[in-house]
Amino acid sequence: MKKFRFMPREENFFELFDDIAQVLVDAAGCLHDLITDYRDIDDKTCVLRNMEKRVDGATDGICHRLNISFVTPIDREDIHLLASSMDDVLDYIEAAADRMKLYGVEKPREEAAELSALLVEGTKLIQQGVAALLNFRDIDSVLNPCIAINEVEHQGDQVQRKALARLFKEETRPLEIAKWQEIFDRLETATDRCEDVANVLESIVVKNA
Amino acid sequence: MIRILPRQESFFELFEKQVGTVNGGARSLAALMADFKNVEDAASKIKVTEHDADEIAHEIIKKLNMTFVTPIDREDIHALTSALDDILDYIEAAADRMVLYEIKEPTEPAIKLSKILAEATELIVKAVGSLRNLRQPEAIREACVAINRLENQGDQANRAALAKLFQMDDRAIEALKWREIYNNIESALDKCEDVADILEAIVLKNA
Repeated sequence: MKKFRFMPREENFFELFDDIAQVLVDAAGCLHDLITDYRDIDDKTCVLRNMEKRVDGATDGICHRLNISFVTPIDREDIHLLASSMDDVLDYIEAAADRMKLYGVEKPREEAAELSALLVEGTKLIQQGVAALLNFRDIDSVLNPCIAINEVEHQGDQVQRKALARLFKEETRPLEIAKWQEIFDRLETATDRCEDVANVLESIVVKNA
Repeated sequence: MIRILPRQESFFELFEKQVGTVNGGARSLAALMADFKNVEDAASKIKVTEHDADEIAHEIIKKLNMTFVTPIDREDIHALTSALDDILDYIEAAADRMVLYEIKEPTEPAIKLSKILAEATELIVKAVGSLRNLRQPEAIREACVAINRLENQGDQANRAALAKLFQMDDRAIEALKWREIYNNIESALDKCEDVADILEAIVLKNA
């Protein structure tokens, strides 16, 4: 099996990417917890916002390392792209939670929990893919999680459609529809952003294959 | 000459197949909006097209992983196929919402937007077809400029349409349905522009 080695540990990028991946998993878990156990909303959304700050910090750290490293293990633009695409996932997770609080949602609609469960799955797959990239294993150990992420995105699409169909069928208050349309959109877009991370991972592997 | 192995399709052939599906999907959507009949059949036809496109995209990625020397940079092949795939995703979402929301008749902006989208994909077919001739990049450049122009038109049409939607106080729920459909078509157009950007980058690199 073909081995490759993109990111030597000594570059320090390892810890930073590992850290971002872990925050993504935690954030998706926190969102899922918020939706399935809709209490202490202020606290939970606040935790999410802090996670966003932590990722911003890690992304800054990566940019800083990029600026002072003369030789990078993979193309500089790919390092940057990977960090910012992971950051985007978190932005949408946070935005979804924030909208629920902001719009005074009293009880999350059922499909929201299905979407947050998919995000838990998607972020774990991102963590796997990133770890495989960093631990210089074989190509398939990066590509397989990416394929699984595409499936998560596809399921996200399906759940959103189902959610919208029921929303327009059962809800008669236009403003309520508008709120949920937006919340579902944020949740589904978060799964799209997971797919974007998968695309970046795929592209890095494909380029260096 | 005897062929021992079955002939493999080239990247160019696969891309031409993929843009064929994108254009087919966009034309089906425009046709549906212009002549609003058998909405469900039309939408499921677009879904089949989208699925076919997925298969082609997978084939391209698979081929990329097995090919040592590629005619254009590996990352450009990957970016192009992903962006083309995105266009059809939005087209399919728009068509699907027509069924989902039980839309009874199309609106003027929907007809206009889907027509602009079909035109943009026509240009993508032309530009991608010219990838074989990177030494004469004029055709690609011209198509890309025209795609950018169409994307701007789409933007403006979408904004005007949204402004009009939110004037119909009495039909707020209808407005919310259409807003989503317009946004999907407009996002498909944005993705056409992304394709144009990728093509322009390929041209620049190979100049």
